[in-house]
Amino acid sequence: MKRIIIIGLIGLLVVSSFVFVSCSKKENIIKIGAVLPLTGDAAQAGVNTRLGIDLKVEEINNSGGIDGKILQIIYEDCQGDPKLAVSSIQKLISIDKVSAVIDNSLSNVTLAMAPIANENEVVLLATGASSPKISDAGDFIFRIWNSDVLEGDVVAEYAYKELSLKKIALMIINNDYGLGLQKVFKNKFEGIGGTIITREMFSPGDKDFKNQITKLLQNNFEAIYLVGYPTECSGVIKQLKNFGYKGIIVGTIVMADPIVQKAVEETGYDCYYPIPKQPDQNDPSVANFMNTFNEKYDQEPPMLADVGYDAIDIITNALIDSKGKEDGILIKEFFYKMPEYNGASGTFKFDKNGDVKKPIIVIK
Amino acid sequence: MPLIQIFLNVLIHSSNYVLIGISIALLYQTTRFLNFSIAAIYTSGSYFVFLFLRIFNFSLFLSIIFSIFFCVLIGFLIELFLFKKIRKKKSSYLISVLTSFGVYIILQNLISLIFGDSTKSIRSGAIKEGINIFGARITPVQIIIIITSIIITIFLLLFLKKTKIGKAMKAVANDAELANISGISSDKVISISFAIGSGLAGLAGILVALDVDMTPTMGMNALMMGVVAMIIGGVNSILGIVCGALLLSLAQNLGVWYFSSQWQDAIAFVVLLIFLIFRPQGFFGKKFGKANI
Repeated sequence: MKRIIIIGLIGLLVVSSFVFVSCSKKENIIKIGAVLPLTGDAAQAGVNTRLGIDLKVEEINNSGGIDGKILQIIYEDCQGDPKLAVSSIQKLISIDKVSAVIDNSLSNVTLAMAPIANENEVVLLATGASSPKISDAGDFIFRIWNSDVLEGDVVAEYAYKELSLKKIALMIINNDYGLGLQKVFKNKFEGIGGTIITREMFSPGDKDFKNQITKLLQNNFEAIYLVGYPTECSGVIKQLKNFGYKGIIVGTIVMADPIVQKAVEETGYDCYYPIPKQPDQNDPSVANFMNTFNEKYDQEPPMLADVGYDAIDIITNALIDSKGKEDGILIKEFFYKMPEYNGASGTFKFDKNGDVKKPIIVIK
Repeated sequence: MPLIQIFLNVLIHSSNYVLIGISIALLYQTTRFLNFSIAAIYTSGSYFVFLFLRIFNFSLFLSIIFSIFFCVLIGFLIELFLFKKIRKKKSSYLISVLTSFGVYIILQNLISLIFGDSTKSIRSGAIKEGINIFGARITPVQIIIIITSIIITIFLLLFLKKTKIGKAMKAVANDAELANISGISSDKVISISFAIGSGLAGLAGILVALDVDMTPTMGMNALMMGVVAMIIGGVNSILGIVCGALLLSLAQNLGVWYFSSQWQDAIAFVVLLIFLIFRPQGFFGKKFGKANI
């Protein structure tokens, strides 16, 4: 008898949970998924983005929602782990039936989720991922952050025009990242009249670059274009000093890393590198974001809050355009044909790969 | 071709390969398996120095002495509590190697956990240009690395040849059971070889870190190069290992020069393969055979 009661109770629980799930798709709510690292190593980035997202959602719902429907964000904590992210997006799409998914600044997480988003025809909008591979990740994958390759272009032009460098040697990390940037830099630099004198490569994790530097320094050039991660870059810079190199170093955004900055400081090299340009604070959209953020949270917007805010805004625009119809294909099409958008993180427009070109500046 | 610079590069690199090569060979001779935990002890050496130097504010010299002491201690303890037990159970070669690999993984992760994965530095003072020798550059630290390695190698050579313990090590290397029968405690000898090998590995790690900084994963690559140098040179000959290390770093340097820099490590293993096929006992090595009774 006892057993029958237990089985009956479990059965009731199962049935009611089905009913609950199927009822949860209410007519007056539009759901958007957000897969963010809210705990773990990358948590700060996720938490910051969440602040921006919440702010925009509150604004939209206070002003009547989208076509009378209320916007709701369903957060999933991926902890920066691609495996968790994959199960999160599967849950968001199949159970929560979200109309779009936002994710954060980890390229491997974006790339892991991309096939699922494409297959289910749901737009995946990355707010901070920078890997060049994301350009080819599929039609439904967008990002509002520059691809790494863009900076190669900007730096090559800066080196030739602003620094008047004509002869450059390459010191490149031997992986997708290094080779991708090398290609862009070389094409641009040689295209506008510069010469690439020579190239040496190193592997990720290398610490000793004596052999490469010995060979590199047998050539005559004015600057070295250095592409690698902080560990290798700081090593190369220090060892160049040991070898008595006296020229200029041109780098990537990696140079902004504290470890590399320390090496540059200790060696005293002239080092030029690109960083994303801060949005103009006099721009009304940017100023509005800064003010409302300050009012709600009583602090200045941290890094990546602005892209979270913009992500919700453009998805909302797409939903308004489709008259509130939650169709991934319509959102995708809106994104591709969207005119230049002026938001909290600056102005941007998607190209055919779902990439944006935000302004980059080169600093010393 | 900058001959002098290449010569200096070869000296700097090979002095490191020699130390780690001898360290691995000492353990291999007495225990007859490739001990991966040496790679972790190599890394520990430099991180202990970092700990004493940067956190306890000891002097560099004192930090190095303490660090080597702790490396010896770790080597001694893992032998006492792990490898000795495994040996007593007459475990297979594979189990011994896997155990040592486990020790490596644990220690390396521990270092990552405590110190983080980013580069740490134990050099003191500003980064300076190297001394100019006919257009080639060498830093004072690199000169110290070379001299230290030469002194240690000569010292070990004499130690193994002249002292009683050195001779006992040779006996155990030839046949542990036979050595036991003739009154040599093979356990004691193996403990000593663990202690010396660990100290050497720690020192090698410290010297490299002084030159090019450190990361928690630096040990594995060093171990690989040490193993290649040891196999090229012959397991039971220190002079052979010296030659092996010189040949290995020369091949790597010339490889970068004539081919391309991404082939550096591949070239090391090509040299290894050539030796394994044509001269598996190494330069001066005699063919290892168990003594027949």
